[in-house]
Amino acid sequence: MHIKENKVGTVHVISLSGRLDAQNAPLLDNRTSTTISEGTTHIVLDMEKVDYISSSGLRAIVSIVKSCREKKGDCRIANLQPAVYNILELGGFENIIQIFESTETAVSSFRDR
Amino acid sequence: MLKNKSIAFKLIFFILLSSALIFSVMFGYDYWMSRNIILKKVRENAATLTSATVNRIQTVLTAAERTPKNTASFLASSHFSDHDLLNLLKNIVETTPEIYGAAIAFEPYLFDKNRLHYAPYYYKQGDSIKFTWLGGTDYQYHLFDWYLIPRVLGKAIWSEPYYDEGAGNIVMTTFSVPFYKELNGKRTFMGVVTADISLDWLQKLISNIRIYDHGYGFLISQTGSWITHPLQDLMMNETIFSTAEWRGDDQLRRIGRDMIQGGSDFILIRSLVYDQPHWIYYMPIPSNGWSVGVSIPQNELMADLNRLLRNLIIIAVLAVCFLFAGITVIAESITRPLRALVKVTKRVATGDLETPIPGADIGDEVGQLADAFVHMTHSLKSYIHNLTETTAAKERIESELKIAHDIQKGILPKIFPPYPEKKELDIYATLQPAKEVGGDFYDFYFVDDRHLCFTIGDVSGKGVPASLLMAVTTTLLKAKAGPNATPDQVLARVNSDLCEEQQSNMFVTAFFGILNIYSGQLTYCNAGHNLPYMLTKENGVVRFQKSKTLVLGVFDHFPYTTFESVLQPRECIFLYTDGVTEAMNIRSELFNEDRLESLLRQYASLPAKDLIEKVAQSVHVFESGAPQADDITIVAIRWNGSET
Amino acid sequence: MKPLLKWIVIALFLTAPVTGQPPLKKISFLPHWLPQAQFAGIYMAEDLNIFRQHGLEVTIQRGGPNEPPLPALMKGKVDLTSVFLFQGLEAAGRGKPLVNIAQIGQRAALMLVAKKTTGIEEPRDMAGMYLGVWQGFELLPLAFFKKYTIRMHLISAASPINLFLREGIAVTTAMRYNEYHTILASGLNADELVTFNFSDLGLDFPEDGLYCLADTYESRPDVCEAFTAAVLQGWRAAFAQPDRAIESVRRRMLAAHVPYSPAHQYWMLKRMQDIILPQEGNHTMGALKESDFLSVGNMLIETGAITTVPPFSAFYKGKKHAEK
Repeated sequence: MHIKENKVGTVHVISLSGRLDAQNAPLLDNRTSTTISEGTTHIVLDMEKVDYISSSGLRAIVSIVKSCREKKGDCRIANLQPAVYNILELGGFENIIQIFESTETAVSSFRDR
Repeated sequence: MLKNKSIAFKLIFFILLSSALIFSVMFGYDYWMSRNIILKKVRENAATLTSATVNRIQTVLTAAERTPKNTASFLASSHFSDHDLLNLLKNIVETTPEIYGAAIAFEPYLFDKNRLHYAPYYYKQGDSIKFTWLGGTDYQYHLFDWYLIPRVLGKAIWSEPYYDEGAGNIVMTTFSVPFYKELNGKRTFMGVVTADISLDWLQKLISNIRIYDHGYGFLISQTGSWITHPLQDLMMNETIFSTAEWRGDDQLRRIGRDMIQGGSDFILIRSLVYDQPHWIYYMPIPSNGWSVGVSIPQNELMADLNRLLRNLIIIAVLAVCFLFAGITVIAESITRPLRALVKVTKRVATGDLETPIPGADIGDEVGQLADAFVHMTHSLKSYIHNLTETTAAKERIESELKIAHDIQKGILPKIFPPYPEKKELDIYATLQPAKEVGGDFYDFYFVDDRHLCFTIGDVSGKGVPASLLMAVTTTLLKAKAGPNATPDQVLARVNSDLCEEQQSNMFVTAFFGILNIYSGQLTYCNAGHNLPYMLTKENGVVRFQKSKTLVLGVFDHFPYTTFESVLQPRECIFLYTDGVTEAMNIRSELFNEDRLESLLRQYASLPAKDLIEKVAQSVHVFESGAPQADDITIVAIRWNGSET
Repeated sequence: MKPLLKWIVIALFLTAPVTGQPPLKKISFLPHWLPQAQFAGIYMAEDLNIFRQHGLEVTIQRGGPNEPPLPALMKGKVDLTSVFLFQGLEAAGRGKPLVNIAQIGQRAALMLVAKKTTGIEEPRDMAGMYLGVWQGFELLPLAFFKKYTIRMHLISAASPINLFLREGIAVTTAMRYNEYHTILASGLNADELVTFNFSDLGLDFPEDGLYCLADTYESRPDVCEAFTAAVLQGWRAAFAQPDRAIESVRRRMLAAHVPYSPAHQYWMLKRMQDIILPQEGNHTMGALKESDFLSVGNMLIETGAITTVPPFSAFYKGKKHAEK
């Protein structure tokens, strides 16, 4: 699992690749909690290269979303692969997490506020 | 070679080897230097001694030479009668102690025209002086060396030494001086004046040379004849060269040649007398070209040095022994505790931490090592103690949790048929746990006499937290359900409670439904769970309606939606968890919904139990070889329609 | 010492009075020089009782410079003696009544020796130089001068070797078995010397032979022949047992107060073997060849020593030379 961070304006784009499972979720959790504790509240998770997500991965995402929202920010998801989207959809996460087709739209969604 | 030897052995080996080497080098150097110094001294002494001997001989020879030389001058310049000549000759023998005999030998017919031989000769015999005429048919003196050589060479010579039988077998040498006279204006050879001298004194002088115990002197003539030598057989019999030939000793021949050619040297040879290495020094006698040598036994020369060396070696050996003992004691004192430590640590290694460790009270490095070992065993003991305690605690907790989980699972209905009196229902359920404790659950219960609540769910994650959350969720579901509560209300309440109570972002998927067993009316709500299937007569296998949904326990105040439907008799609700569809075979392929749906179509009409067993069996067959990753939970509820 | 023991036993056996054994015939012999290996065969014949085996009781007189052999023979002081062939033949040519009963030496051992430093490379190079010779042997160098048509200053001496060693003369005569070795044993190396063997110069005159008066031979030919046979047998024994032979020589040399050097005597014995039993050429041990007789006779006539050579048969009474 690779995690790449990238700043676009005030938005923090985190690009993930590989499997977001019980083994890798803590990595993401650690990384983002550090980022968030440093003041970042606008996060876009670029999931283009994530081909699998487990419940631990979902929990990690929920955790990021909640952390951001507590600080009046948000975490939005972009570029979901269909299989991963299905998993999110199954749990109804698309109802509470904003999902975009591309990172650009996700990033710009923050500007449109 | 030494790799596997003990420390003590290596210490002893290297220290002894190097000290032996040091001793050898020191002594070797000392010996070599001392030897050279001694040889230098001996050479000087031998040279002094030989030179003194040569001088003494030379003095005598010079004295012996003087008289015949004077006589020859006198004869060359004077006229003399027969009588004068005899008196002169007699006087010479009488007054010159060195001279044993003297002759004046004339050329044939020169002194007296009538006499072939004219050679008066006076010689000593005992205390008296004797006279004789030399020459005769059997002694033509002019053919002999003492006469002929000075005549031919025109100069005075010392003859080769010879035995004189007449004088009692003593070795003699003769000095012959030619004399000349002007005859008819021509320098004419007249004859020779001779003086015989005994070599008795010379032999005594040389034989008295004593150097150490077995050193000796020797003398050879101009042709190499042994005049004096400790070996009597050689004297006057052999030359140094015939001896060399006889012994096959080329070095001796070379030395002999150098000696008769007037050389002088200090050289190591094998003694002819003792067959041992001797240093010889030789030097020529100027007068006659003879050579005096002294022979010094090397072993006696070096006796003191050898004794010194021997004592040094004894001291060195003692020192090495002492060193050996010392090193042994030290090595032993080092290695004994080490060996004890090795023995003890071997026991420690087998787990015996109670073994007392010796040597920790010693102040040196070994003591420190032992001390470290003591600390290590203490640490190990406390670590093992802690580990044992923690492990025990952990095991206790785990086993307690497992028990809790089992209890929880145990309280799920698992007696089938659960409501045998209710002919309307054919319910069957299975929960096949994965190895790790999973979070699947199902439940069904009547809230009143006609409404059957049923639920299936899956707590995210595994292990103890998941079980705990599962227990909480099932309890909450049961608690929140009631005769008047709609499914969305139940799930919303449970969601609310779960969100309040847990911060870990664990979530639960659940499907909750209520079936009126009399009317077949069904209300249900989904919270992020896999949508169940409805096995219908008319439409075959269909999914429950998809709705806006969300898992429980993450976000509060989510508006869950209740859907309604009416079952036709013999229709069946098939609920499952993702353990079924996400079961994986060894090729990492998922079982997935397609396979499940075709199974359901195939076995739609089977009783609930058979249907579930078919599905479960298919999943197991599919999974065969791969470990079961997740709980597999299936619930089937077939409504047979109201009997009334 | 086993061979010695054996010989002692044989000697005891032979000396034991045996009945029927004819009495030993007495005869005296004078060697022409001091005791040395030159006469080893004769000493062996005595020491091994070979003379007795031949029915002889031989008295060997002491030879040496004080006892010239031919005068002793003529005066009847001795029955038998040994001299060089040229000496015997010269005496016979001058009418002395002596006969040769055996020619022991078959070849010449005489040689000329010079130091290489003289620059001599071939015989003619010696012209004008000083040559030392034993007094009484001057005929031999004269024959050499004649043959090579050179002149040299001849110096007679009792022994020219010391004169040679002290460089009083450039060249010396020497016998290979004796003086040549003496020169080597005086510190000169063989490679420092240049030598000419008379045998190689075409002057191969046989040397040691046994002589007696013609009367002696005529009256007691059997004794003469027995003596010859015993001497030849003695020589064969000497060559077969050199250590025993040298021991016989040594004993006599010590008794005569003659310097004894084993190296020298062994050398001499070996060289005697070279001339008594030559490996090459046509020789019969102990026999005089008429050709040798004639060449020595010619030499004597040419040098003017004698004017006529007696007939071979009158001079030589020994065994016949066997043509091979």
